[in-house]
Amino acid sequence: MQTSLPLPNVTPEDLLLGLTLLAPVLVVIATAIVVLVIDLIITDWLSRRPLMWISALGLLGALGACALLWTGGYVGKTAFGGFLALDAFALFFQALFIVAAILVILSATTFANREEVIEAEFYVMVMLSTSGLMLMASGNELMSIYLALEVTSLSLAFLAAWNKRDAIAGQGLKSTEAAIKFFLLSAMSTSVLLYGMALLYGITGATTLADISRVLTGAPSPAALLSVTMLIAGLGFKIAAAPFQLWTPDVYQGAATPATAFFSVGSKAAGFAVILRIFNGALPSISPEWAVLFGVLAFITMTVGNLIAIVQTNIKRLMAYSSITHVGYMLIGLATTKGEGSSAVMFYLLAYTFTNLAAFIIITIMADYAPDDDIAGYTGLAQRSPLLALGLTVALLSLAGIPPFVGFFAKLYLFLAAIQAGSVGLQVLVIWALIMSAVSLYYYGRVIHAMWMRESLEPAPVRAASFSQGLALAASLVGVVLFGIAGRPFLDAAVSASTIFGR
Amino acid sequence: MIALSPDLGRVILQLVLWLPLVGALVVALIGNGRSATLTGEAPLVTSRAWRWATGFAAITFILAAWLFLGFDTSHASNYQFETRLSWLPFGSDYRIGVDGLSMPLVALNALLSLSAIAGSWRITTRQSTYFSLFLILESAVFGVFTASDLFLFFLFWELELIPMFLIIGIWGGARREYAAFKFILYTVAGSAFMLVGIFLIAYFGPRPLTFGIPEIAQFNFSQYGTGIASLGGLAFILLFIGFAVKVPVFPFHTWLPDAHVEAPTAGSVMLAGVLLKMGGYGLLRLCVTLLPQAAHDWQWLLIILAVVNSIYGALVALAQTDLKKMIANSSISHMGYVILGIAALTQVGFHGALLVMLAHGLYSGLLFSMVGLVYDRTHTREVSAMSGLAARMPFIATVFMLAGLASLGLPGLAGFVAEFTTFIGAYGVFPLATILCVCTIAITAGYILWRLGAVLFGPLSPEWATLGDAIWRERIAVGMLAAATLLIGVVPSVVADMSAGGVAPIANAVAQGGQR
Repeated sequence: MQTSLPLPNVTPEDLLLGLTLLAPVLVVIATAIVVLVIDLIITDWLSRRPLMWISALGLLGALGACALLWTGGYVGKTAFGGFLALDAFALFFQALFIVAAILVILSATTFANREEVIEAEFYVMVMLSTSGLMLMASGNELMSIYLALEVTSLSLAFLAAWNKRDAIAGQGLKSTEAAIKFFLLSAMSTSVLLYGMALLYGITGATTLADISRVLTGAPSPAALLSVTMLIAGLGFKIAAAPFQLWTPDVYQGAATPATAFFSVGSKAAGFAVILRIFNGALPSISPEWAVLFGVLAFITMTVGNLIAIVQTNIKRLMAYSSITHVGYMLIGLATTKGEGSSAVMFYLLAYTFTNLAAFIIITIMADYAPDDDIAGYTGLAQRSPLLALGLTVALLSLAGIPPFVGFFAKLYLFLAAIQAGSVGLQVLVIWALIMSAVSLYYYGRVIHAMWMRESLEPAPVRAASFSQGLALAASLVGVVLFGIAGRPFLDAAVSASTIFGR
Repeated sequence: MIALSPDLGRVILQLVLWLPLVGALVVALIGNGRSATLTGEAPLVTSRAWRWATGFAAITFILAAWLFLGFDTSHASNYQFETRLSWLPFGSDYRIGVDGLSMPLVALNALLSLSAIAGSWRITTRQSTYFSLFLILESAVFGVFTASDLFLFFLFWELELIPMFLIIGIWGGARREYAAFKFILYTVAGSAFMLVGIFLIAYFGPRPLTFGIPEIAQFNFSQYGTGIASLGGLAFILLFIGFAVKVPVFPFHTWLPDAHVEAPTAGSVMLAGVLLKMGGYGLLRLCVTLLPQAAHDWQWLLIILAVVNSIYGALVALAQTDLKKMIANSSISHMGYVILGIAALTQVGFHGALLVMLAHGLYSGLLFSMVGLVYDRTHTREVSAMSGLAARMPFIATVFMLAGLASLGLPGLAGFVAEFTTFIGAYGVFPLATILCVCTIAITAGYILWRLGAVLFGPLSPEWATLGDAIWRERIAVGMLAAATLLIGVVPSVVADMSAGGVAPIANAVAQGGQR
């Protein structure tokens, strides 16, 4: 244990190893810089479309780097004196973020080309926030986690403000409002989180998660409990758990749809990655206490999300409350405090990412056809485009947990893990979650009903704006179906990744 | 009857199961392919979606027929053409196979799907969606009949709901949305009970944890106690509720008249012909096979429900003046025979129940098709509005009468063989209940002969004097069903050898269960 601030003693070998482990993140950042520079230098003669493909290729390269690290025997290594860890857990999430970023970038074409807005920055900000998310997943120490969180929050706030179309049309600058709300609340929650981290450092004198868990044994002190509460409050904001969810609907509605898509999957999954790592890695001795807190949050979150979702008339607000509901389900997995619960949450995040992206890509396409993203604009969609209606139906059914889609299997694994944990409280939570799932079928079903069983007001057919958008949609829908019926390898990956927590 | 190597059979079975789903995708992608919207009396043009869907259904039917003929009837009690792949981490595998119980139902589904799809050529709105939903439905039903893993069975069971819901809700009659929601609410509620029952069975069943039906069938649940309040009794009734909604068994039947009446013709054909059979199949395959002791404990309930179902359904059918409502309620009555056969818990009873399911699948599909053909021409289903139609449409009248006579159990047609076997099987066990059920045949004869006679015979009113008979593609679609009805009636052994072997292990299990 160190007495001063625990700055690590870095040798050249360490540095080399650290840079190697950071390779996927570095590739993402490098691609972002390249795209930015190309956009600056060659604007006139280069059509802007290739920038999208360059971004996507760079991200694919990062995915390749992940694969190389996986097969090259780097799994389980730490770098920079334990600041970063590249384990199966981190790689699982890094790959997830990269894939999500690729899908968002491919699907954002209509939006980025509209109104002649400079598009490159959008791709750049998506990639920079992806690099932050990836660092969050591999942060193994409080300070590095905090820094990664800040990188992410800043670039996400930038993304939230991106809806230039709104600004040009002068309709109340909803996206700017969304960005300011997000930024202020994010800053507040981060300060709460930072206070919790400071308390933890004050108690243990350590910042790496392993050191903290070594020092923190026996009955928890009041200060430790206070710090846990603050950590949960701070991170609860990032994942939008009730009662810290108030920013979600406004930001989801105000931000441009592709940015919303990225918000809804990226920051949520990274928040869960950090929670899983901090609470399982650093605070196992306090697990009975934080399990109760997560259980209570799970109950409040899924109830609030579901009940408010029922009355929504705007599809983006509906998706916001739906995302809150899913956070509630996943919190049950955290409350199990077991390895099975953690791996079930990871698989759930995978399922949720693909399903939500599929839904949001269709909402992006529909932005041109449904004014203000009103659900009323989806009326009779099945006549205007049967395939898009089918895609959205599949995504919504998967969110509702209907077989054979991935959402059903994710819920199944999650609830089985909670039941097998064997506490009565968890079983009650699962029963409540099942009731809530039945409720959710109502508001997802309302959209499906409007699409299929109502006559369309506009006969004009609906089409995806570009090839890349259709490709992204097809890829995410394939994920929704395939991860369900053939998701075993990914579940096994999640199970092996969660073994790092040693339980 | 023909030689079929196990490896080839395995491939064909997988093709039969998944080809309709592939077809659904293809049909969804190629679009409607008919520019002019068709109105008026004789739209003789068919859409591209119809041609492709019929093609896929026909190929699937040929493959299923090949499988049916290649099935080894001397080993009908074993699963054949079995495929097994490791699947989910908690003891559930991808296991597909057919035995003597499921093979005839697979063939029935292939036949009825082809007939329903081919007969739907008049659909003019959103054809590609319509036909791909029917193909999805076909795959889902194949899955239910061929899965030998409880969890896989449940997934296919749920997969069938959404296409049927949309078929009723989009192409149905005036009250289609009400009927569609009633259908899905009843079935989802039923399957929630079923899922709990499935998990209960697996959780308390053999170790290591498995969802395999053959493994669980070997397990003795009476070690947890006997009687209706025991674990077995509880699991039995949970599963039973799920299947009873589907069969349907009184008092869970009220969705059926609405769904059948509002559904488009092909939807009614699939509902009555195949989907109701999923309930009876589930009772045989899951309830009785897995929990034979509980079947003995609950036998009294099954008998009561069988009698109530057959008499109540027949009396309600007697009171109808709408042809479709009459046939819908007669389905409830005939499903009472299925419950009666199962309730007997003898091999002959089980065999009769399976044969009633097959025969009812054929003649109820036929009856709904004929009502559809008549309605396409007259635009009414009211009995009092029609008379003497046989003069204008001899083919339709002939097949309609054939289906009606099969339904009331005329010897020489499929219904007689099936009902006779059921009553023989049940009489030795509970004579009084069987006699009560036999009496419903008289009621059936009453409503079938009165109503069909009124519609088809008598003086032809001038209003209908310009109507035409069925055209060739309609004749082929219903002719296949009529031929099968006749074939099973005259040569029952085409299915009876297979089905007798199929129910034999269930009867053995029940006999052993009774001695425990």
